[in-house]
Amino acid sequence: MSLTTSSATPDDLVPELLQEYGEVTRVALCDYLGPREPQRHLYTLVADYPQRGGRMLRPSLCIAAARAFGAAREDAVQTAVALELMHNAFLVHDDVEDESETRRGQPTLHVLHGVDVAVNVGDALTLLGLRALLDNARTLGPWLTLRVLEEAERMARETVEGQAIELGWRRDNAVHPSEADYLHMVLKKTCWYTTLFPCRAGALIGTRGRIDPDRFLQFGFFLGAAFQITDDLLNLVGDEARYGKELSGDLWEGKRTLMLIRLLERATPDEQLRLRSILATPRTGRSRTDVAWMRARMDAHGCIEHARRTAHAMAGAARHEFELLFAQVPDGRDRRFVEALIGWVLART
Amino acid sequence: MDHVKRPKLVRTQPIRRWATLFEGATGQTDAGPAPDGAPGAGDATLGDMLSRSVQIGYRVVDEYVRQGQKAAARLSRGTPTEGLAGDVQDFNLRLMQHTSELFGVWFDFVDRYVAGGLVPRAAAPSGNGAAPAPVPPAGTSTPVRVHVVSPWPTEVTVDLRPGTSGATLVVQALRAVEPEKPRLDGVRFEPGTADAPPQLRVRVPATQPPGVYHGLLVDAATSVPAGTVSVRVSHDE
Repeated sequence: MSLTTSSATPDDLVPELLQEYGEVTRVALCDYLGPREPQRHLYTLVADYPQRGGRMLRPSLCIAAARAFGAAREDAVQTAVALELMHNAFLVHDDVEDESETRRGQPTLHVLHGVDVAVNVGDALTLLGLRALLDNARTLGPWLTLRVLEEAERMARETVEGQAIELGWRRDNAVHPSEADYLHMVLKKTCWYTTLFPCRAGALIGTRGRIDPDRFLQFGFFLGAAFQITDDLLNLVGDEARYGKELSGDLWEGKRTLMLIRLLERATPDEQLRLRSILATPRTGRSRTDVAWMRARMDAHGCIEHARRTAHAMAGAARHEFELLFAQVPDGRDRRFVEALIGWVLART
Repeated sequence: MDHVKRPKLVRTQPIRRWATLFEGATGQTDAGPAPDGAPGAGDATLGDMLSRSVQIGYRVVDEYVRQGQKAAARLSRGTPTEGLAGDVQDFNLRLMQHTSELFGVWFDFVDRYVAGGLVPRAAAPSGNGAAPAPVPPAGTSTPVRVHVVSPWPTEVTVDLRPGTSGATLVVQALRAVEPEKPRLDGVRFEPGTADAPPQLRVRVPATQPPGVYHGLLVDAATSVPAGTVSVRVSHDE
C-alpha cells in the first residue's frame, strides 16, 4: 500500500521511505535481472550484487525528489532502477580497481569469479541501466526521456572522471592533495551519482523538464560530501558486520580519504617519511603493523575527529541549501524525507 | 478555542550564514584557517574549523561551475557567454541542438523499436496476448495537406511515419535551437478521414522571429513519436 500521509518522526521517516521506495525499485529491477542465457557467467552474476541488498538510498532519493516536485511515483521508478543498476555496475568495477575483498558482507564478485568475468558483469549492469532509461519513453515521452538520458550520461561521465582522479592519486602516490582537492574529487566521484543525479533527474521528472537542474549543485554536493566522509569514517571506526566491507580497507588500499590527507598534513617529518614509504608500497606489500600504525597516527593527530566535524559542517551547509532550494516546495512526506536524509547520512552505523 | 501561534520571525528570508545552523558555533564566517583543529580545541576554534571547511566546499562548487562555464564557452558556436545565466543559456542552447539532432535518431529508433520486434518484455501488450499491430512496409508515404497562415515567407516540412494518418496526433510546441526565441505554438494536426488526408495547420504570428522551429508529432493514444515538423520562418521579403 502506498502511504500518502505519515506522522513519522524524521528518524522513522528515512527508514520508512527507504523501505517503501526501495521495495518498489527492487520489484521493477526484477524485469531486468531475470534468468537469461548465458546464465552461469553473466546473468546469474549480474543479479548477485543487487540481491545482496543495500539501503537503496539513491533510487529512494530519486523517487522522493520526483514526487516532491509533483510526479507520480511510477514516473520515476524506471530512472530509479537505472540508477541502481549503474550503481551496482560501479561497485563491481570499483571492487576490482580497489582490490576489495568483501562487499555487503560477502566476497566481492572478482574474488568469487575472477577479474575478467567481474568486469564483464559490470559492463552488463551498465547496459541494463541504459535499457531502463530508454524504457522511460513509455511513461515520460521522448523529450523528457532524452533529457533524463543526458543527465545520466553526465552523471556517469562525472563519476568516472572522479574515480580517475582518485585512482591517479594512488597510482602516482600523491602526497599533496588538499582538502579542496579531496572535496572536488568527491563532488565528481560520489556526489553526482549519489545525490546530484537523483535530485536533478527527480526534479526534471516532477516538473516535466521545467526546472534548471543546476540549482541542485550546492545541496547535492554538501549532502554527498557528508555522505562520503561519513562512509570513509565508517571504514575506520564502524561495525564491520553492519558496514559490509572490510574494516580499515581504505588504509590497506591507500585511499586518499580526508583522514589520510589530514594525516599527511599533520605528520611530523619522521612520520612523513614512514607514511610515504608505506603508501608507495603496493597493497600486497603492506603489513598489519603498517595499517595499525597509520590508524594510530590518525588518532594521535585528531584526523578522525577532524573528518567527523567536517562531515557535520557539510551536513549543516546541506541543510542551509535545502531551505533555499525547497522553500517553494509544498510540505509533504517526500520533502521531509529529503530533509531528514541530511541527518541520516551522519547517523549511519 | 485558542490556537497556538508561532511568533513572527524576525528574518524575512533564509539566513545564509551557515554558522548559525550549528549549536555552539561561533557564527564567525570569514575566519581564516584554524590554527589547530585537533580535539579539545575551544568553541571558537571549532567554529573556525567548520567555517573553513564549508568555505572550501563553496569554493569547490564555485570553481566547478566556473570550469563548466569555460567549457561551455569553448563548445558554443556563438559569442562566449558570461556569468551563470549565460552558462545556463549556453547549456540550453546545446541541449536544444542535441534534441533537434536527436529527433531524427529517435524517430528512427522508435520505428525500429515498434516495427523490428524490439519491444522489451515490460513494454509488451499484457493480458490479451494480442500480436503487435501490423506495420506498413517501409517506403509507404502518407500524404498530408498543409495549411499555412503567415505574414512571413514560411516553409513547412512534415515527416510522418507511415500508418499514422488516422491517428490522433498532438503537435508539441515547436522550438528553435536558440533558446531566447519564443516557441511556435500555433501548429495543429487534424486526423484524416475516409475522404481527406490529414491536415497540418500552421499559424505564424507576426511577432515570430525568423528561424527554424522543430517539433514532434506524438500519437495521443500511445505517446509514441509519429513524426516531426519543421517550420522555417524567413523575414526576407
